[in-house]
Amino acid sequence: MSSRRLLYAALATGAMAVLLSGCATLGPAYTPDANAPRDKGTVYVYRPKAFGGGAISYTVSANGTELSSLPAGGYFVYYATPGETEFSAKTEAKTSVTVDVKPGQTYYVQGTIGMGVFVGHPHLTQVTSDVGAKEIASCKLVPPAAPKAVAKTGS
Amino acid sequence: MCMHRLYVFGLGPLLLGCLAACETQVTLTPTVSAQAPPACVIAAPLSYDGQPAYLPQVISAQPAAEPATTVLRYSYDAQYNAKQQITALQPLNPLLIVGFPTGSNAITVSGLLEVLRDGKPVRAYAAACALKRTSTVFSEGETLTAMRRRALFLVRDNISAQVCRDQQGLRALLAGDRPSIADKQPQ
Repeated sequence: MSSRRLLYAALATGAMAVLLSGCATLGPAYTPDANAPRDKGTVYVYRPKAFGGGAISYTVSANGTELSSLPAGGYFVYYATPGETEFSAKTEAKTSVTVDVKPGQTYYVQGTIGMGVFVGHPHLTQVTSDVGAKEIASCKLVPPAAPKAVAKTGS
Repeated sequence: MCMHRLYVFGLGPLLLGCLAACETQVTLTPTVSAQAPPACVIAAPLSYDGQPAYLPQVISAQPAAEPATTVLRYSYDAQYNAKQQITALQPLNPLLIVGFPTGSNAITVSGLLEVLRDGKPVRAYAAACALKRTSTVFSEGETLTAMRRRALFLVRDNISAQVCRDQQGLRALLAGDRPSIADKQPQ
């Protein structure tokens, strides 16, 4: 009997650990960035909170270079070199979207999670400034991790 | 026997429908004739700041010795439309295991080649391409990056075909204003 309780406790602890691993600590609420270099484009990558997939976080890359993780309700800023920039992410499926960046312009890349077999599929898409500015207002800044602190340096 | 009929006539077409939905649907306008247009190269001063690969291949950029009065300008635009959120009832849908769509991605690319005289457009060639695909729990299909690239190439080739079909009119337009513009004849 006690061994069965021990098994339940271990399973419950494991399930909680898996669920909480997706809950990243987020920073301050969204504020428009005012430090953008003039020779770069500003790209806001954000992920609104949604019904499903909230425990799943994925890493977003720009032209193959990892930028930051993107949990539900988070955002980060990326100063992109003018030209085509491919934003991508991967779990059991890959997603990517290309943004044609022009200097001094602002772009919004929206992240979501779709249904998958074992884990949700990440989706990235570019949205209009109207939609992006409205949705990002409820997001919080993703603190840059130490080895991936290149999020604001551009490519 | 009845169950057999249910499988064959009920689930069979449903499965085929789900699998067909996974393919990318392509819509390209305007429709150009299936016959290959005559080959041509139009050489003229060009205003274009995009990737060289997306420029219609019939255009050969010619450096303008003096401020050119007639210039070709090519531009394109891409608009994304994705619907990929998990809804409350979606995980309960038993048809997901036979490939029922879980979301869709769409992109519309438009391209415009203009002949500008003194900054004003005097002739234009336009094309638009819409690509749409659905995703399932098993497959996401083409990424938006791949769809965008494919659409840009289709638009590029469509405009190339339009230009070659109208090359006499375009050459006359360019030559009438600037006799120095050299148009290369097809080999």
